[in-house]
Amino acid sequence: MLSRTALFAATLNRTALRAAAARPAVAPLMAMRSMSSVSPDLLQQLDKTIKDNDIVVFMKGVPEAPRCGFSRGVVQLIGAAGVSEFKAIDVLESDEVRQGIKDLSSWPTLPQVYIKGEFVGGFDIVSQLYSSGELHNMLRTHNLIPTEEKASE
Amino acid sequence: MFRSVLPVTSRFARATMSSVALPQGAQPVYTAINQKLVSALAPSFLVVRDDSRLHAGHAAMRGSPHRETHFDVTVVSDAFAGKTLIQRHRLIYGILAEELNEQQGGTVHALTITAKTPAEFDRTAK
Repeated sequence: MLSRTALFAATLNRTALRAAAARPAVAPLMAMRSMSSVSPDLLQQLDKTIKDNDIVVFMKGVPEAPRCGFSRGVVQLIGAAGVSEFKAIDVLESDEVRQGIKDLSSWPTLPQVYIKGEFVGGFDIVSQLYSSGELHNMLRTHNLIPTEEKASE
Repeated sequence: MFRSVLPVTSRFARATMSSVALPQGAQPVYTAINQKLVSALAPSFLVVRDDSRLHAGHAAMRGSPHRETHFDVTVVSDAFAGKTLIQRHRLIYGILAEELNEQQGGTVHALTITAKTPAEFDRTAK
């Protein structure tokens, strides 16, 4: 576990960042356009939102008032990991956004968490990453939370 | 709350499924989830839990005509070996695509997944 985590942290910077830049965050946008019932413009816009923000959470409700237990859960886990600011998108405000993000990631459920343009997972996965310490590592690698040394000062 | 625990061996998985007495009538989705996971993943352990009642009142479910909407599955299978968490979830989402696709009549709105290999499952059980 430790070696996998260390390896992950070590390779994340170089490989993942380059890979994230080289290919779309999730599924190839061009391919999605033909399969999705959602407008290409919206998919493009969602893709841009994911890439332009350090952390994006597509959720039901807003962080202050989640309207689904799983959405509440990811907000709490991200907060507990030390994140104070992230982009939250309430999918209950738009059926098109709700369907669009599912199509874009080829992931049928919500919430969905993205870090530095990469799809991380829904509640189950974020919860497991939190427990294993991998979520902290991921956030630290991207300088989204203070390193342990700073945090203990 | 309907709940069944099916510790099945992969060898007997199919036979077990056909002989398991499921509550009569009312649960086509629950039954389909069980059967599809068993036949696709040959799990050594499988628990499918219908949590729909717990969510009947929440925002997205108001006015929904469906009764089988929220499930929690724990699957232990060799099929997950060497796969990341995302890959494991995608594998299960693929198997249950029909149930999950709301645009094509699927009724499953939330699926909680615990997917482990037998070795990982033994470790957590101890």
